[in-house]
Amino acid sequence: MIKKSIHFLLALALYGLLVFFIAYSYPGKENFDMTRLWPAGPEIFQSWLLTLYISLASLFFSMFTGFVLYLASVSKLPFFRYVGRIFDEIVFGSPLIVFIIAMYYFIAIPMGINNRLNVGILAFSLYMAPYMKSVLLGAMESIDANQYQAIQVLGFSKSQAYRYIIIPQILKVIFPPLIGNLTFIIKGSSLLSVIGVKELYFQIDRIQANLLLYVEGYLLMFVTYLLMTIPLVALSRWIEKKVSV
Amino acid sequence: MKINLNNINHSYHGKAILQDISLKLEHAEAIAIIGPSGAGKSTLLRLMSKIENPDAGEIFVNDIDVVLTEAKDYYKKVGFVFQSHNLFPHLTALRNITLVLEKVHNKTPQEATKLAIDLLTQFELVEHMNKKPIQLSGGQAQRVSIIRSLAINPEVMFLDEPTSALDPILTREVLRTILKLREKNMRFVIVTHELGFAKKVADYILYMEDGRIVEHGPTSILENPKTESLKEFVEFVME
Ligand SMILES: Nc1ncnc2c1ncn2[C@@H]1O[C@H](COP(=O)(O)OP(=O)(O)OP(=O)(O)O)[C@@H](O)[C@H]1O
Ligand SMILES: [Mg+2]
Repeated sequence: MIKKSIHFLLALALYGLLVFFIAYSYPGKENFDMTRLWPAGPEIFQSWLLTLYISLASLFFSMFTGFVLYLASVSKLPFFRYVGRIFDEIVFGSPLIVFIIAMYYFIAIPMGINNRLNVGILAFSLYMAPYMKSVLLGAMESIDANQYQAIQVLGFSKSQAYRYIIIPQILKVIFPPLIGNLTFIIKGSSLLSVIGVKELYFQIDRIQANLLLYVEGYLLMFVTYLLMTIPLVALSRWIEKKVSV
Repeated sequence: MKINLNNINHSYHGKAILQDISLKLEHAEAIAIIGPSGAGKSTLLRLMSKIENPDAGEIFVNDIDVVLTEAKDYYKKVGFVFQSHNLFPHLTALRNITLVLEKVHNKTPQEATKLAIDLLTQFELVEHMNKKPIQLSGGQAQRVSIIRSLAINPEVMFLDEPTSALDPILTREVLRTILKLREKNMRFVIVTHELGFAKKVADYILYMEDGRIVEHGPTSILENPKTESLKEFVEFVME
Protein backbone atom coordinates (compact mmCIF):
# COMPACT_ATOMS: atom_id res chain seq x y z
CA MET A 1 0.00 0.00 0.00
CA ILE A 2 2.72 2.46 1.02
CA LYS A 3 4.69 1.57 -2.04
CA LYS A 4 1.76 2.32 -4.27
CA SER A 5 1.19 5.78 -2.82
CA ILE A 6 4.86 6.63 -3.34
CA HIS A 7 4.47 5.74 -6.97
CA PHE A 8 1.42 7.97 -7.11
CA LEU A 9 3.29 10.90 -5.59
CA LEU A 10 6.18 10.38 -7.98
CA ALA A 11 3.78 10.42 -10.91
CA LEU A 12 2.25 13.65 -9.59
CA ALA A 13 5.73 15.12 -9.21
CA LEU A 14 6.44 14.35 -12.85
CA TYR A 15 3.46 16.42 -13.91
CA GLY A 16 4.44 19.13 -11.44
CA LEU A 17 7.85 19.27 -13.07
CA LEU A 18 6.24 19.56 -16.45
CA VAL A 19 4.15 22.51 -15.31
CA PHE A 20 7.20 24.11 -13.73
CA PHE A 21 9.18 23.66 -16.93
CA ILE A 22 6.43 25.20 -19.03
CA ALA A 23 6.12 28.12 -16.64
CA TYR A 24 9.89 28.60 -16.42
CA SER A 25 10.41 28.73 -20.15
CA TYR A 26 7.42 30.98 -20.77
CA PRO A 27 8.66 34.39 -22.00
CA GLY A 28 6.25 36.60 -20.07
CA LYS A 29 6.61 34.79 -16.77
CA GLU A 30 7.61 37.93 -14.76
CA ASN A 31 4.06 39.20 -15.25
CA PHE A 32 2.33 35.93 -14.37
CA ASP A 33 -0.28 36.70 -11.75
CA MET A 34 -3.34 34.55 -11.13
CA THR A 35 -4.78 37.05 -8.65
CA ARG A 36 -5.49 39.51 -11.43
CA LEU A 37 -8.31 37.20 -12.49
CA TRP A 38 -9.91 37.66 -9.10
CA PRO A 39 -12.29 40.51 -10.03
CA ALA A 40 -13.82 38.28 -12.69
CA GLY A 41 -14.35 35.56 -10.10
CA PRO A 42 -18.16 35.82 -9.73
CA GLU A 43 -18.64 35.86 -13.48
CA ILE A 44 -16.40 32.84 -13.92
CA PHE A 45 -18.12 30.97 -11.13
CA GLN A 46 -21.48 31.68 -12.70
CA SER A 47 -20.31 30.32 -16.04
CA TRP A 48 -18.89 27.27 -14.26
CA LEU A 49 -22.33 26.63 -12.83
CA LEU A 50 -23.85 27.14 -16.26
CA THR A 51 -21.50 24.53 -17.73
CA LEU A 52 -22.50 22.15 -14.97
CA TYR A 53 -26.17 22.88 -15.70
CA ILE A 54 -25.72 22.36 -19.43
CA SER A 55 -23.94 19.08 -18.81
CA LEU A 56 -26.47 17.65 -16.41
CA ALA A 57 -29.42 18.81 -18.52
CA SER A 58 -27.84 17.33 -21.65
CA LEU A 59 -27.16 14.10 -19.80
CA PHE A 60 -30.77 13.99 -18.66
CA PHE A 61 -32.31 14.68 -22.05
CA SER A 62 -29.86 12.46 -23.91
CA MET A 63 -31.15 9.58 -21.80
CA PHE A 64 -34.53 10.17 -23.41
CA THR A 65 -33.18 10.63 -26.92
CA GLY A 66 -30.95 7.61 -26.40
CA PHE A 67 -33.91 5.57 -25.18
CA VAL A 68 -36.00 6.57 -28.19
CA LEU A 69 -33.12 5.61 -30.48
CA TYR A 70 -32.78 2.35 -28.60
CA LEU A 71 -36.46 1.59 -29.14
CA ALA A 72 -36.04 2.40 -32.82
CA SER A 73 -33.04 0.10 -33.11
CA VAL A 74 -34.90 -2.86 -31.60
CA SER A 75 -38.15 -2.11 -33.44
CA LYS A 76 -39.82 -4.87 -35.39
CA LEU A 77 -40.49 -2.41 -38.20
CA PRO A 78 -37.41 -2.01 -40.44
CA PHE A 79 -38.45 1.58 -41.16
CA PHE A 80 -37.70 2.64 -37.57
CA ARG A 81 -34.46 0.70 -37.52
CA TYR A 82 -33.32 2.53 -40.66
CA VAL A 83 -34.34 5.90 -39.27
CA GLY A 84 -32.20 5.13 -36.23
CA ARG A 85 -29.28 3.78 -38.24
CA ILE A 86 -29.15 6.85 -40.48
CA PHE A 87 -29.20 9.11 -37.44
CA ASP A 88 -26.30 7.10 -35.97
CA GLU A 89 -24.31 7.59 -39.16
CA ILE A 90 -24.97 11.32 -39.20
CA VAL A 91 -23.77 11.71 -35.62
CA PHE A 92 -20.80 9.37 -35.85
CA GLY A 93 -19.72 11.06 -39.07
CA SER A 94 -19.94 14.69 -37.99
CA PRO A 95 -17.80 16.61 -35.50
CA LEU A 96 -19.79 17.91 -32.56
CA ILE A 97 -18.93 21.51 -33.43
CA VAL A 98 -20.37 21.14 -36.94
CA PHE A 99 -23.46 19.47 -35.55
CA ILE A 100 -24.07 22.32 -33.11
CA ILE A 101 -23.55 25.01 -35.74
CA ALA A 102 -25.85 23.23 -38.18
CA MET A 103 -28.53 22.78 -35.55
CA TYR A 104 -28.43 26.44 -34.57
CA TYR A 105 -27.91 28.34 -37.80
CA PHE A 106 -29.65 26.01 -40.24
CA ILE A 107 -32.47 24.57 -38.18
CA ALA A 108 -33.25 26.60 -35.05
CA ILE A 109 -32.82 30.13 -36.46
CA PRO A 110 -34.91 29.50 -39.62
CA MET A 111 -37.59 28.07 -37.35
CA GLY A 112 -37.53 31.23 -35.30
CA ILE A 113 -36.04 29.62 -32.20
CA ASN A 114 -33.20 31.67 -30.84
CA ASN A 115 -32.71 30.70 -27.24
CA ARG A 116 -29.07 29.72 -27.65
CA LEU A 117 -28.85 27.84 -24.40
CA ASN A 118 -31.86 25.62 -25.08
CA VAL A 119 -30.86 24.98 -28.66
CA GLY A 120 -27.40 24.07 -27.42
CA ILE A 121 -28.72 21.61 -24.89
CA LEU A 122 -31.08 20.15 -27.46
CA ALA A 123 -28.30 19.78 -30.04
CA PHE A 124 -26.10 18.12 -27.47
CA SER A 125 -28.87 15.76 -26.36
CA LEU A 126 -29.42 14.70 -29.94
CA TYR A 127 -25.74 14.28 -30.59
CA MET A 128 -25.35 12.08 -27.52
CA ALA A 129 -28.32 9.86 -28.39
CA PRO A 130 -26.35 7.18 -30.27
CA TYR A 131 -23.81 7.01 -27.45
CA MET A 132 -26.57 6.65 -24.88
CA LYS A 133 -28.21 4.02 -27.05
CA SER A 134 -24.97 2.02 -27.00
CA VAL A 135 -24.91 2.22 -23.24
CA LEU A 136 -28.47 0.92 -23.07
CA LEU A 137 -27.82 -1.84 -25.57
CA GLY A 138 -24.78 -2.95 -23.61
CA ALA A 139 -26.80 -2.99 -20.43
CA MET A 140 -29.63 -4.96 -22.01
CA GLU A 141 -27.17 -7.48 -23.40
CA SER A 142 -25.85 -8.07 -19.91
CA ILE A 143 -29.11 -9.94 -19.31
CA ASP A 144 -28.87 -13.17 -21.27
CA ALA A 145 -31.57 -15.15 -23.04
CA ASN A 146 -31.62 -17.74 -20.25
CA GLN A 147 -32.92 -15.17 -17.83
CA TYR A 148 -35.75 -14.17 -20.13
CA GLN A 149 -36.69 -17.81 -20.38
CA ALA A 150 -36.69 -18.13 -16.61
CA ILE A 151 -38.81 -14.97 -16.36
CA GLN A 152 -41.30 -16.54 -18.75
CA VAL A 153 -41.66 -19.95 -17.12
CA LEU A 154 -41.78 -18.56 -13.60
CA GLY A 155 -44.81 -16.59 -14.70
CA PHE A 156 -43.64 -13.02 -14.05
CA SER A 157 -45.65 -10.34 -15.81
CA LYS A 158 -43.82 -7.87 -18.04
CA SER A 159 -43.95 -5.07 -15.51
CA GLN A 160 -42.80 -7.35 -12.68
CA ALA A 161 -39.94 -8.58 -14.84
CA TYR A 162 -38.80 -5.02 -15.49
CA ARG A 163 -39.24 -3.87 -11.94
CA TYR A 164 -37.63 -6.74 -10.07
CA ILE A 165 -35.28 -8.38 -12.54
CA ILE A 166 -34.30 -6.31 -15.55
CA ILE A 167 -34.02 -2.74 -14.27
CA PRO A 168 -32.07 -3.60 -11.07
CA GLN A 169 -29.49 -5.39 -13.16
CA ILE A 170 -29.32 -2.63 -15.73
CA LEU A 171 -28.77 0.01 -13.07
CA LYS A 172 -25.72 -1.84 -11.90
CA VAL A 173 -23.95 -1.90 -15.22
CA ILE A 174 -25.15 1.41 -16.55
CA PHE A 175 -23.42 3.84 -14.18
CA PRO A 176 -19.78 3.66 -15.27
CA PRO A 177 -20.47 4.20 -18.99
CA LEU A 178 -23.05 6.82 -18.12
CA ILE A 179 -20.50 8.84 -16.19
CA GLY A 180 -18.05 8.31 -19.02
CA ASN A 181 -20.60 9.98 -21.26
CA LEU A 182 -21.10 12.77 -18.75
CA THR A 183 -17.40 13.67 -18.78
CA PHE A 184 -17.57 13.66 -22.57
CA ILE A 185 -20.52 16.04 -22.33
CA ILE A 186 -18.75 18.35 -19.89
CA LYS A 187 -15.75 18.63 -22.15
CA GLY A 188 -17.88 18.96 -25.25
CA SER A 189 -20.06 21.66 -23.70
CA SER A 190 -17.21 24.14 -24.34
CA LEU A 191 -18.21 23.91 -28.01
CA LEU A 192 -21.53 25.61 -27.30
CA SER A 193 -19.40 28.77 -27.22
CA VAL A 194 -19.56 28.77 -31.03
CA ILE A 195 -23.22 29.70 -30.89
CA GLY A 196 -22.58 32.22 -28.15
CA VAL A 197 -23.67 30.33 -25.05
CA LYS A 198 -21.93 32.01 -22.14
CA GLU A 199 -20.56 28.86 -20.57
CA LEU A 200 -17.21 28.42 -18.90
CA TYR A 201 -14.98 28.38 -21.96
CA PHE A 202 -16.77 31.34 -23.54
CA GLN A 203 -16.50 33.49 -20.41
CA ILE A 204 -12.90 32.76 -19.53
CA ASP A 205 -11.93 33.23 -23.15
CA ARG A 206 -13.59 36.64 -23.19
CA ILE A 207 -12.15 37.70 -19.84
CA GLN A 208 -8.62 36.68 -20.63
CA ALA A 209 -8.79 38.59 -23.89
CA ASN A 210 -10.10 41.71 -22.15
CA LEU A 211 -7.53 41.57 -19.36
CA LEU A 212 -4.74 40.18 -21.54
CA LEU A 213 -4.28 37.29 -19.14
CA TYR A 214 -3.98 34.42 -21.58
CA VAL A 215 -1.77 32.09 -19.59
CA GLU A 216 -3.66 32.64 -16.39
CA GLY A 217 -6.95 32.18 -18.19
CA TYR A 218 -6.05 28.91 -19.84
CA LEU A 219 -4.61 27.60 -16.61
CA LEU A 220 -7.84 28.43 -14.85
CA MET A 221 -9.80 26.67 -17.59
CA PHE A 222 -7.79 23.51 -17.09
CA VAL A 223 -8.36 23.56 -13.38
CA THR A 224 -12.07 24.37 -13.51
CA TYR A 225 -12.84 21.62 -16.01
CA LEU A 226 -10.77 19.10 -14.08
CA LEU A 227 -12.68 20.11 -10.96
CA MET A 228 -15.80 18.76 -12.61
CA THR A 229 -14.48 15.71 -14.40
CA ILE A 230 -12.07 14.21 -11.86
CA PRO A 231 -14.65 13.78 -9.09
CA LEU A 232 -16.99 12.18 -11.60
CA VAL A 233 -14.39 9.71 -12.76
CA ALA A 234 -13.60 8.90 -9.15
CA LEU A 235 -17.30 8.45 -8.47
CA SER A 236 -17.72 6.06 -11.37
CA ARG A 237 -14.72 3.99 -10.19
CA TRP A 238 -16.26 3.84 -6.75
CA ILE A 239 -19.67 2.77 -8.05
CA GLU A 240 -18.04 0.19 -10.30
CA LYS A 241 -16.28 -1.31 -7.30
CA LYS A 242 -19.43 -1.23 -5.21
CA VAL A 243 -21.59 -3.14 -7.66
CA SER A 244 -19.01 -5.59 -8.97
CA VAL A 245 -19.33 -7.75 -5.83
CA MET B 1 -50.00 -37.21 -13.66
CA LYS B 2 -51.90 -37.54 -16.89
CA ILE B 3 -50.29 -36.82 -20.22
CA ASN B 4 -52.20 -36.82 -23.46
CA LEU B 5 -50.44 -35.91 -26.69
CA ASN B 6 -52.51 -35.87 -29.82
CA ASN B 7 -50.85 -35.86 -33.25
CA ILE B 8 -48.25 -33.27 -32.44
CA ASN B 9 -46.28 -31.87 -35.32
CA HIS B 10 -43.64 -29.22 -34.99
CA SER B 11 -41.04 -27.81 -37.32
CA TYR B 12 -38.31 -25.18 -37.31
CA HIS B 13 -37.74 -23.23 -40.51
CA GLY B 14 -39.76 -25.73 -42.51
CA LYS B 15 -37.81 -28.69 -41.18
CA ALA B 16 -40.04 -31.21 -39.40
CA ILE B 17 -38.67 -31.84 -35.92
CA LEU B 18 -41.56 -33.68 -34.27
CA GLN B 19 -43.74 -35.91 -36.39
CA ASP B 20 -47.16 -37.19 -35.43
CA ILE B 21 -46.46 -37.71 -31.78
CA SER B 22 -49.32 -39.27 -29.88
CA LEU B 23 -49.29 -40.67 -26.40
CA LYS B 24 -51.80 -41.31 -23.66
CA LEU B 25 -50.67 -41.90 -20.08
CA GLU B 26 -53.04 -42.03 -17.14
CA HIS B 27 -50.86 -42.71 -14.13
CA ALA B 28 -47.22 -41.90 -14.76
CA GLU B 29 -45.43 -40.30 -11.81
CA ALA B 30 -41.97 -39.70 -13.21
CA ILE B 31 -41.37 -39.85 -16.95
CA ALA B 32 -37.88 -39.97 -18.40
CA ILE B 33 -37.39 -38.97 -22.03
CA ILE B 34 -34.28 -40.53 -23.51
CA GLY B 35 -32.77 -40.79 -26.96
CA PRO B 36 -29.89 -39.66 -29.10
CA SER B 37 -28.93 -36.04 -29.58
CA GLY B 38 -31.23 -34.16 -31.95
CA ALA B 39 -34.09 -36.61 -31.44
CA GLY B 40 -36.43 -33.80 -30.40
CA LYS B 41 -36.50 -34.48 -26.66
CA SER B 42 -36.04 -30.86 -25.62
CA THR B 43 -38.50 -29.74 -28.26
CA LEU B 44 -41.18 -32.06 -26.90
CA LEU B 45 -40.51 -30.85 -23.37
CA ARG B 46 -40.70 -27.22 -24.48
CA LEU B 47 -44.09 -27.91 -26.05
CA MET B 48 -45.42 -29.68 -22.97
CA SER B 49 -44.30 -26.77 -20.83
CA LYS B 50 -45.70 -24.18 -23.24
CA ILE B 51 -42.41 -22.44 -23.85
CA GLU B 52 -43.55 -22.88 -27.42
CA ASN B 53 -46.84 -23.98 -28.95
CA PRO B 54 -46.86 -26.81 -31.50
CA ASP B 55 -47.58 -26.16 -35.17
CA ALA B 56 -50.37 -28.72 -34.93
CA GLY B 57 -51.80 -31.14 -32.41
CA GLU B 58 -53.16 -31.11 -28.88
CA ILE B 59 -51.37 -31.39 -25.57
CA PHE B 60 -53.09 -32.16 -22.29
CA VAL B 61 -51.22 -32.25 -19.00
CA ASN B 62 -53.49 -33.29 -16.12
CA ASP B 63 -56.45 -32.41 -18.33
CA ILE B 64 -55.18 -28.88 -18.86
CA ASP B 65 -55.30 -27.96 -22.52
CA VAL B 66 -51.76 -26.65 -22.77
CA VAL B 67 -52.13 -24.99 -26.16
CA LEU B 68 -55.31 -23.13 -25.31
CA THR B 69 -54.66 -22.18 -21.71
CA GLU B 70 -53.14 -18.79 -20.94
CA ALA B 71 -49.38 -18.95 -20.43
CA LYS B 72 -49.55 -17.10 -17.14
CA ASP B 73 -52.17 -19.50 -15.76
CA TYR B 74 -50.22 -22.53 -16.91
CA TYR B 75 -46.97 -21.34 -15.35
CA LYS B 76 -48.68 -21.08 -12.02
CA LYS B 77 -49.21 -24.82 -12.16
CA VAL B 78 -46.00 -26.18 -13.64
CA GLY B 79 -42.30 -25.71 -13.02
CA PHE B 80 -39.40 -25.84 -15.44
CA VAL B 81 -35.71 -26.51 -14.82
CA PHE B 82 -33.22 -25.82 -17.59
CA GLN B 83 -29.82 -27.22 -18.46
CA SER B 84 -28.11 -24.27 -16.83
CA HIS B 85 -29.38 -22.95 -13.55
CA ASN B 86 -30.95 -19.66 -14.74
CA LEU B 87 -30.98 -18.08 -11.32
CA PHE B 88 -31.21 -14.29 -11.39
CA PRO B 89 -27.62 -13.16 -10.77
CA HIS B 90 -28.43 -10.02 -8.76
CA LEU B 91 -30.51 -11.87 -6.15
CA THR B 92 -29.46 -14.21 -3.37
CA ALA B 93 -30.45 -17.87 -3.44
CA LEU B 94 -33.21 -17.14 -0.94
CA ARG B 95 -34.54 -14.11 -2.81
CA ASN B 96 -34.53 -16.04 -6.07
CA ILE B 97 -37.05 -18.35 -4.47
CA THR B 98 -39.13 -15.85 -2.50
CA LEU B 99 -39.51 -13.36 -5.35
CA VAL B 100 -41.60 -15.79 -7.40
CA LEU B 101 -43.64 -16.83 -4.39
CA GLU B 102 -44.45 -13.25 -3.47
CA LYS B 103 -44.99 -11.66 -6.85
CA VAL B 104 -46.51 -14.48 -8.89
CA HIS B 105 -48.11 -16.64 -6.20
CA ASN B 106 -49.24 -13.85 -3.90
CA LYS B 107 -47.63 -15.17 -0.72
CA THR B 108 -46.77 -12.69 2.00
CA PRO B 109 -43.05 -12.06 2.49
CA GLN B 110 -43.21 -13.99 5.78
CA GLU B 111 -44.91 -17.01 4.22
CA ALA B 112 -42.54 -16.96 1.27
CA THR B 113 -39.44 -16.74 3.43
CA LYS B 114 -40.61 -19.48 5.75
CA LEU B 115 -41.44 -21.80 2.88
CA ALA B 116 -38.15 -21.10 1.10
CA ILE B 117 -36.04 -21.63 4.21
CA ASP B 118 -37.95 -24.83 4.94
CA LEU B 119 -37.15 -26.21 1.52
CA LEU B 120 -33.55 -25.00 1.58
CA THR B 121 -33.15 -26.78 4.90
CA GLN B 122 -34.64 -30.02 3.63
CA PHE B 123 -32.32 -29.94 0.65
CA GLU B 124 -29.26 -29.04 2.74
CA LEU B 125 -28.72 -25.67 1.15
CA VAL B 126 -29.79 -23.39 3.91
CA GLU B 127 -26.26 -22.29 4.78
CA HIS B 128 -25.93 -20.89 1.26
CA MET B 129 -29.20 -18.99 1.23
CA ASN B 130 -27.62 -15.54 1.38
CA LYS B 131 -25.16 -16.17 -1.42
CA LYS B 132 -25.50 -14.77 -4.91
CA PRO B 133 -25.54 -17.36 -7.72
CA ILE B 134 -21.96 -16.52 -8.67
CA GLN B 135 -20.85 -17.57 -5.18
CA LEU B 136 -22.52 -20.97 -5.48
CA SER B 137 -21.05 -24.05 -7.15
CA GLY B 138 -22.75 -25.15 -10.35
CA GLY B 139 -24.42 -28.00 -8.52
CA GLN B 140 -25.65 -25.81 -5.68
CA ALA B 141 -27.01 -23.25 -8.12
CA GLN B 142 -28.84 -25.93 -10.09
CA ARG B 143 -30.30 -27.35 -6.88
CA VAL B 144 -31.49 -23.89 -5.84
CA SER B 145 -33.18 -23.50 -9.17
CA ILE B 146 -34.87 -26.88 -8.73
CA ILE B 147 -36.12 -25.70 -5.36
CA ARG B 148 -37.29 -22.46 -6.95
CA SER B 149 -39.55 -24.49 -9.25
CA LEU B 150 -40.57 -26.84 -6.49
CA ALA B 151 -41.49 -24.03 -4.08
CA ILE B 152 -44.58 -23.07 -6.03
CA ASN B 153 -45.82 -26.62 -5.46
CA PRO B 154 -46.42 -27.32 -9.13
CA GLU B 155 -48.62 -30.11 -10.42
CA VAL B 156 -45.81 -31.19 -12.72
CA MET B 157 -42.16 -30.27 -13.10
CA PHE B 158 -40.29 -30.36 -16.40
CA LEU B 159 -36.55 -30.85 -16.28
CA ASP B 160 -34.36 -30.67 -19.37
CA GLU B 161 -31.02 -32.39 -18.77
CA PRO B 162 -30.52 -30.59 -15.50
CA THR B 163 -27.07 -32.10 -15.06
CA SER B 164 -25.60 -31.80 -18.53
CA ALA B 165 -23.73 -28.61 -17.67
CA LEU B 166 -22.10 -30.19 -14.61
CA ASP B 167 -19.12 -32.41 -13.92
CA PRO B 168 -19.73 -35.95 -12.56
CA ILE B 169 -19.42 -35.07 -8.87
CA LEU B 170 -21.80 -32.12 -9.07
CA THR B 171 -24.07 -34.25 -11.23
CA ARG B 172 -24.41 -36.74 -8.38
CA GLU B 173 -25.60 -34.13 -5.91
CA VAL B 174 -28.18 -32.78 -8.36
CA LEU B 175 -29.41 -36.29 -9.14
CA ARG B 176 -29.79 -36.90 -5.40
CA THR B 177 -31.92 -33.79 -5.23
CA ILE B 178 -34.14 -35.10 -8.02
CA LEU B 179 -34.48 -38.47 -6.29
CA LYS B 180 -35.64 -36.54 -3.28
CA LEU B 181 -38.30 -34.82 -5.37
CA ARG B 182 -39.54 -38.28 -6.17
CA GLU B 183 -39.62 -39.25 -2.51
CA LYS B 184 -41.75 -36.18 -1.89
CA ASN B 185 -44.13 -37.46 -4.59
CA MET B 186 -43.45 -34.61 -6.93
CA ARG B 187 -44.45 -35.58 -10.45
CA PHE B 188 -42.07 -34.71 -13.24
CA VAL B 189 -40.95 -35.25 -16.80
CA ILE B 190 -37.18 -35.30 -17.18
CA VAL B 191 -34.98 -35.40 -20.25
CA THR B 192 -31.79 -37.17 -19.31
CA HIS B 193 -28.72 -38.87 -20.71
CA GLU B 194 -28.13 -40.78 -17.50
CA LEU B 195 -29.79 -44.12 -18.17
CA GLY B 196 -28.86 -45.58 -14.80
CA PHE B 197 -30.50 -42.62 -13.16
CA ALA B 198 -33.56 -42.87 -15.39
CA LYS B 199 -33.98 -46.48 -14.28
CA LYS B 200 -33.81 -45.45 -10.66
CA VAL B 201 -36.03 -42.39 -10.70
CA ALA B 202 -38.56 -42.92 -13.48
CA ASP B 203 -41.55 -45.20 -13.67
CA TYR B 204 -42.11 -44.55 -17.35
CA ILE B 205 -39.72 -44.20 -20.29
CA LEU B 206 -40.17 -42.45 -23.62
CA TYR B 207 -37.51 -43.35 -26.14
CA MET B 208 -37.27 -40.82 -28.99
CA GLU B 209 -35.43 -40.89 -32.26
CA ASP B 210 -35.74 -38.61 -35.31
CA GLY B 211 -38.70 -36.68 -33.97
CA ARG B 212 -40.77 -39.73 -33.06
CA ILE B 213 -41.48 -41.73 -29.96
CA VAL B 214 -40.03 -45.05 -31.06
CA GLU B 215 -40.75 -47.00 -27.91
CA HIS B 216 -42.38 -46.24 -24.60
CA GLY B 217 -43.43 -48.16 -21.56
CA PRO B 218 -42.64 -48.83 -17.91
CA THR B 219 -39.00 -48.55 -16.92
CA SER B 220 -38.52 -52.27 -17.44
CA ILE B 221 -38.35 -51.66 -21.21
CA LEU B 222 -34.77 -50.60 -20.61
CA GLU B 223 -34.02 -54.20 -19.57
CA ASN B 224 -36.08 -55.81 -22.35
CA PRO B 225 -36.32 -53.42 -25.27
CA LYS B 226 -38.80 -54.45 -27.94
CA THR B 227 -37.33 -52.35 -30.71
CA GLU B 228 -33.91 -52.78 -32.22
CA SER B 229 -33.21 -49.03 -31.94
CA LEU B 230 -33.77 -48.84 -28.19
CA LYS B 231 -31.74 -52.00 -27.71
CA GLU B 232 -28.84 -50.47 -29.61
CA PHE B 233 -29.19 -47.19 -27.77
CA VAL B 234 -29.14 -48.87 -24.36
CA GLU B 235 -26.12 -50.97 -25.28
CA PHE B 236 -24.36 -47.95 -26.70
CA VAL B 237 -24.95 -45.75 -23.64
CA MET B 238 -24.23 -48.47 -21.10
CA GLU B 239 -20.87 -49.29 -22.65
N1 LIG C 1 -34.95 -23.07 -31.92
C1 LIG C 1 -34.60 -23.93 -32.89
N2 LIG C 1 -34.46 -23.49 -34.17
C2 LIG C 1 -34.12 -24.34 -35.16
N3 LIG C 1 -33.90 -25.65 -34.98
C3 LIG C 1 -34.00 -26.15 -33.74
C4 LIG C 1 -34.36 -25.31 -32.63
N4 LIG C 1 -34.39 -26.08 -31.53
C5 LIG C 1 -34.07 -27.32 -31.93
N5 LIG C 1 -33.86 -27.38 -33.25
C6 LIG C 1 -33.54 -28.59 -34.03
O1 LIG C 1 -34.49 -29.56 -33.72
C7 LIG C 1 -33.91 -30.83 -33.60
C8 LIG C 1 -34.27 -31.44 -32.26
O2 LIG C 1 -33.69 -30.61 -31.27
P1 LIG C 1 -33.86 -30.92 -29.72
O3 LIG C 1 -33.13 -29.86 -28.99
O4 LIG C 1 -35.27 -31.13 -29.40
O5 LIG C 1 -33.08 -32.30 -29.60
P2 LIG C 1 -32.68 -33.10 -28.29
O6 LIG C 1 -33.23 -34.45 -28.47
O7 LIG C 1 -33.06 -32.33 -27.09
O8 LIG C 1 -31.10 -33.15 -28.44
P3 LIG C 1 -29.98 -33.05 -27.29
O9 LIG C 1 -29.91 -34.38 -26.66
O10 LIG C 1 -28.74 -32.74 -28.07
O11 LIG C 1 -30.37 -31.97 -26.37
C9 LIG C 1 -32.44 -30.66 -33.81
O12 LIG C 1 -32.11 -31.04 -35.13
C10 LIG C 1 -32.21 -29.20 -33.62
O13 LIG C 1 -31.16 -28.75 -34.45
MG1 LIG D 1 -31.99 -31.25 -25.59
